[in-house]
Amino acid sequence: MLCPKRSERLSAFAITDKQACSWGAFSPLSQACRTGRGTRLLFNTSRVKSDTDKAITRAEEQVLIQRCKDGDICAFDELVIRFQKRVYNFAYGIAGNYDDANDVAQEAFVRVFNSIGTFRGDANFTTWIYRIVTNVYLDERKKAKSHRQISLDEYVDLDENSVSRQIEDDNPLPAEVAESKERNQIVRNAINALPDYQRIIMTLYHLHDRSYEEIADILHLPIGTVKSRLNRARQALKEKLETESELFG
Amino acid sequence: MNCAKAQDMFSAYLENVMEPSQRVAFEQHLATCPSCKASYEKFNAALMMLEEMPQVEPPADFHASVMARVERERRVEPSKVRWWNLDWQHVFTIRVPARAVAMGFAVLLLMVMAVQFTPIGHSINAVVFPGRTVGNPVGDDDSSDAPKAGVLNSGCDLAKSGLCINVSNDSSGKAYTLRLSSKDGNPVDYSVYTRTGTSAKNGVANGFVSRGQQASVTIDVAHDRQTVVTELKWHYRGRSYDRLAFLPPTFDADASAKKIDMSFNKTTVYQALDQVSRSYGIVILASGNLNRTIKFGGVDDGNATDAIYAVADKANMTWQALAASVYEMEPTD
Repeated sequence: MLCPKRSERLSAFAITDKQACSWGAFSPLSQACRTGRGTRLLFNTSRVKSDTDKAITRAEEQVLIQRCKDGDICAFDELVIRFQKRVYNFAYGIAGNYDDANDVAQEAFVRVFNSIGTFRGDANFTTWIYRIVTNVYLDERKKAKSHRQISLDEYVDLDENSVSRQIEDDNPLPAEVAESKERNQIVRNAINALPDYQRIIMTLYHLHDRSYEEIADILHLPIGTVKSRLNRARQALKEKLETESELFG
Repeated sequence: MNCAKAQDMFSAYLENVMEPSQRVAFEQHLATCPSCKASYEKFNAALMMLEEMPQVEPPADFHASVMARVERERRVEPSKVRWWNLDWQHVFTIRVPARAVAMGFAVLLLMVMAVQFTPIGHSINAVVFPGRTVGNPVGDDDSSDAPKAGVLNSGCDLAKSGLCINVSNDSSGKAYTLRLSSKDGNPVDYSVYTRTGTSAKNGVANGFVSRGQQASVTIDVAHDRQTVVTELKWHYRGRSYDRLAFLPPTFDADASAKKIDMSFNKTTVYQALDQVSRSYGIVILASGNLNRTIKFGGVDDGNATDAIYAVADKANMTWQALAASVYEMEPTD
């Protein structure tokens, strides 16, 4: 398979309003649009893209998706490049370990490729991808459960009161491991110990900046359910971290 | 407000979606209840820690693995359907997309009407030879097929490549304009590069052409003594297309009357076309592999058509005159 190099591809996907724009005229515009930073939560300083930026990205995606539907493997190649970091991070957020994240993310892309023909143009592609990753993960969990393959960080039950079956790691962390790394691991363990749906909602909301509406759309749940589960998940996370006395100095 | 109620409101307070009266009550409770205050601080801190979790990078081979899997899936041929293993129930319950069928009929009807009511000789596109159309200059009432000077039209095979290219030069002869149009519902993405002599490729413009829109790219040749070779690339229905336009520094609309000596020897097709374009002042649109070397050839006291013929003959290409001093060449299939 011979797809153009990344640099050539990027330039080929710049979009203009009506007429040809001169080469490189796009970057200053994009830069100007990208200066805005916003906050959604009190402490969330994730970058918020401007509407223009979003519209451009959306338009480019539409073209890529259409080309994928027409069987253009290079357009799919570009979609993988654009979405791989987000998909992999989301898979890691919900699967909790690198191996499962890799399996889930790869399988999700294969599923995207096979079912892109069914994707409706008016739907949000990002939401659609998040839904596919979620479904792949839940399917894998179901499969693992039916085959009784219980891994070290498997859970006893999938309902909201499930308890982690994690085996305690008694080995102390090496002294040179940075404090933040240790803290991140503690938070990761706490997240992993949450029930599936709580973990998925927490990951979508806090790590992927999805709104209640988008999460409801991704999980096919009423917004009220999403809100109450998120609230419960936050409380549960707090309780789990509370036991780690060193975290709250 | 009691402690249990206050705990329920942590999320609402955090997201700032509380009624002002509730907010006051909540803040008053926190001010008087050290346990709830500590609890809220931990709640807040826990979420802050969560949001500060670093992003992870996919493994280095992640992209390659995905593409390899997709390639494998593509190669798996669907099993052959024979009458004995056909899903007969499905055959009889097949669903017809009613709206799409209705749309199809409507489009067909419009096309028939368009053909019926278009007066012959005034259509915008005139067929030059089967499967290929050439844009006539807009507002030109003379419908004869004779090539005209000044307006340089290129081949335009919408059904095949999705993009129409129209080349014209301005009255001063210092610039050419490429006009790109598409009749396809999906935007066609294009990139335009120029090259002079042996200089590196230089990106000029890129963008999308949608149905009903036209993109114009102006190529300035005022400062060049050499032919400016303009490369146009675009994608259509999963395929990439590539076309070169050799734009001479001085366009001569009357090149068929010009008689000169010209020869080439062991050059590439590209170099030969560059030379012909510059010597006669003609525009050549070419596709296919132009890097092949061709043997000795040339013309003695020949005009532009003779020279084009000489190159096409050696390079195994077909050619045609699109307008006066505008030629199109493509590889023989």
